[in-house]
Amino acid sequence: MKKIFIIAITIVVLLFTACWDKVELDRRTFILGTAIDASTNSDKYIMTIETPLTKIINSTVGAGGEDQMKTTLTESKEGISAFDIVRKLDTQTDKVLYWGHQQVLIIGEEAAKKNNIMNIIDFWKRDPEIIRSTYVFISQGQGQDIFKVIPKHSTSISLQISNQVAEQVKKTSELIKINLIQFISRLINNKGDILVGRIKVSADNDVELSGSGVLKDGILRGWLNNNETTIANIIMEKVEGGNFSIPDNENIISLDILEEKTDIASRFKNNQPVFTIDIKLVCSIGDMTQEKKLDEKLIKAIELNGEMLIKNKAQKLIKKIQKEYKADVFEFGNYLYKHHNKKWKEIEKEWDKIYPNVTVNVNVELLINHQGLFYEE
Amino acid sequence: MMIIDKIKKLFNIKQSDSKEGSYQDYTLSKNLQKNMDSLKDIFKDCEDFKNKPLKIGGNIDAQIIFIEGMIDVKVVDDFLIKPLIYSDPANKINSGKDAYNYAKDAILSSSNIMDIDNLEKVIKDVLSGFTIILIDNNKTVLSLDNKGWEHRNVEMPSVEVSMKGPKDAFTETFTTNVMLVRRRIRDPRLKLKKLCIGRRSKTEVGVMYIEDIIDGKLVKEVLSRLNRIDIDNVQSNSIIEQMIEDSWISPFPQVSNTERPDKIASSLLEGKICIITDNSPYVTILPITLNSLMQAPDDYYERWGVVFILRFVRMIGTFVSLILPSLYIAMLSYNPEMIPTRLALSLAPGREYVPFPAFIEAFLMEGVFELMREAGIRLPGSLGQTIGVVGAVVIGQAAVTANVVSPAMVVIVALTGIANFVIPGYGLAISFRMLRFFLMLLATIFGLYGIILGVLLILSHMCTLKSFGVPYLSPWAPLSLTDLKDSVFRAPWKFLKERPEYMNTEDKVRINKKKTNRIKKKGYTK
Repeated sequence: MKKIFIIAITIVVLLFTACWDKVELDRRTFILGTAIDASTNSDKYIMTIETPLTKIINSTVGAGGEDQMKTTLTESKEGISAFDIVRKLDTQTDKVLYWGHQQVLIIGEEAAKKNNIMNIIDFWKRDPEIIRSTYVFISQGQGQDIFKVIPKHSTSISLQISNQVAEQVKKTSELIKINLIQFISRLINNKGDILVGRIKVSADNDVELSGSGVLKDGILRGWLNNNETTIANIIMEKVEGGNFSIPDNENIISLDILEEKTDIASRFKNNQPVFTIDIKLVCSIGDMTQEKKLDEKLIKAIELNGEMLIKNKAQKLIKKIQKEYKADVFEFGNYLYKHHNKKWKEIEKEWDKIYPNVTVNVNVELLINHQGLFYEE
Repeated sequence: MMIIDKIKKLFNIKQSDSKEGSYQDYTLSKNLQKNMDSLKDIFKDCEDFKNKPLKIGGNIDAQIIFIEGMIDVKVVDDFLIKPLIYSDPANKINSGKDAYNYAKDAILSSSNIMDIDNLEKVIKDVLSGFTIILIDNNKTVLSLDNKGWEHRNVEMPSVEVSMKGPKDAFTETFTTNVMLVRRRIRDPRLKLKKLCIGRRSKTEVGVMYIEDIIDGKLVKEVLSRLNRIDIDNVQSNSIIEQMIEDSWISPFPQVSNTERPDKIASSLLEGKICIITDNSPYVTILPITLNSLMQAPDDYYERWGVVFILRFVRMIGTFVSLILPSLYIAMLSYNPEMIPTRLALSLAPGREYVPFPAFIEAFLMEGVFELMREAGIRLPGSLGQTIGVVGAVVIGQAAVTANVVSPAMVVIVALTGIANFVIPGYGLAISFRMLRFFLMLLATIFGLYGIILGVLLILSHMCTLKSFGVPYLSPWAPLSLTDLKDSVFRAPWKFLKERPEYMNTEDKVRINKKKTNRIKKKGYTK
């Protein structure tokens, strides 16, 4: 009797159960990219999603015209929150919207200025199906305009952006690469003061990933341009590769960053924290606008010039962020919390007042370790 | 409850004792006529049973009996009947005893002649292709081995093909098979124990082992298991294998067989036992491990670097053939986030117009593939080719065009099919084929979670499985570092100094270290 009972239970377990979330691939539609914008005439949000158009790819009937070129579909809906809009989108499709392959999340400029970004993306924080490697950007202008750009080499603009990010950071540092999970954790750890990559439609109707937006308390306060973002990346030790140019009389020398290391140290002077940032850069020579013999003297001169240039730029940038935006994006507060916990507890409440006037010293060490393939005797 | 009782009945059928032959009432006597009467009675209605009466030296009555077709008639005519009838008149033959000794010692020019005083043995010998000479006034008879039936010659191996290995394969004849092994190991310590299994078939079964290598307990165990078989007919070696294996419920073969004598020779030298069964061109090897089933003869003939790649490919192939279709089901139905985005985007349009869920699609295509394989084996040779074309072109291409299955599924079926052929042991390959469906079922119900569960279940089963006391997963579990030299990676021959540790052999040395090292030291230089 016991045996029969066990067999019966096994049969029931095996045959009458299954995972509840079984949805066939063809019943799902992948959301590749999402943009969230503030509505112009109300308090609501507009969400735009990009999904692949599977039926056109498969169809053997040539429809001709512009439609055939389209491989993705964009849809916009208005609602009080992201979740509200998602449910509205669900009412108008026969497929299951699937977030497991989302490539980019774009937050519109207006929305980011209006509300704390943490509240806007609350849906992405909570939903278990969303993939956390989604890249996050703030768009200059309306986010939904990004999806109107026709992708050059990709089938979808979202795929293009995600590939572009992965490749671009190896070559330039003009972009902040940040994915959803890093975005959320940094927002929480740093109380809403972070830099987010900027995305915009360029003048020749392409997607441009450069510059960054400065968030203070989760609200967008302003933009950093391309050069400033490079410096910010160097300070944050986030450089995977990049370039900057140094003028030497009439000669302009472009340097390619090979290695980068940044150390932050702090001490207290009159009960006020003083920070020292040590930047070490290893570069190679990318090109020069005027042919000159690269002897040791010249290289030394370039190195000195470069050190000065970066030091000035870095100090200027830190000042700008301290005074203009009052945003602690370089995580000085966090540094004190980790390394000078006792002192931090004393000044924690007044940090917002102290921060804009904190002294930050920058030391730069630049090393040019090779000059490329071309070598002149 | 009724059903349960019926099932119980099915497994415990009350058995009456097996019947021995119907000739137990007969015995051999001194009287030739009486003996012939009883033999004729026993072989009633066997019209291939022949007897030839003659007079030895023109005086003593004798009879020659044999089964038509089993003996060499020419030998009987020229070297048996002729000298017996025209015996030398100088030798006076008066009594039966004289005739018997005369025939045995002076006339019959055969190296293999025996005295038999037991009727049962007479009958067995006659049926095995011996010629029996009965002489009047003698209680013993002479049994002459001059088997001469039609048989297949030693041919090329048809299933286990090798590039560099020898090209001879076992045949259906017992003696030929023994000879093929003996030719490779010319050592008197290579023993052959003959058994006779099968109440009616009286099949000759030989157990071969090398005395001072093998673990003595293993021989005892195998012989006792073989002796406990009481079956009417041993059709082939696989029946013996299935009768003596450890676990009948396991999906994995615990005994392997081969048609290659070189493989048998190397197994014997590893301390294994081989069982040669008459009438089957395959010879059984035991005990085995999963690792030994994954090895092909070429692994030992090629150089070690190549072997590493070959074996690695084989492992990957095994894994692919086991889990690829279930991964497809699980990923498409439950876990699409596990597919890389670009792959997912290219899979989705193919699935768009397929009316079935992924698991039906997978079962359908894998089923069709099994169908084609089975049909390919059953069909006569010339038609087998047609099946390949029909399968590949019609079913594959047409099913995709008709949107019955997605193109990706065809790729997966083809891949699993090809990958399965990589596994050297046919028995193992077929059990992985079976387990593939088990995993597909689990993937259908539980997704990726189910696949993990299934693989764990299979692994834990393998861990507990033993083949004649040898753990199935050795040398990996339990881990034996020296045996790892011949697992996924095969060390160069110079380093394979010991016989496998798991075999617990008495003689452990395969390569004499001192002598072999000297080759390296005294290198030839100009």
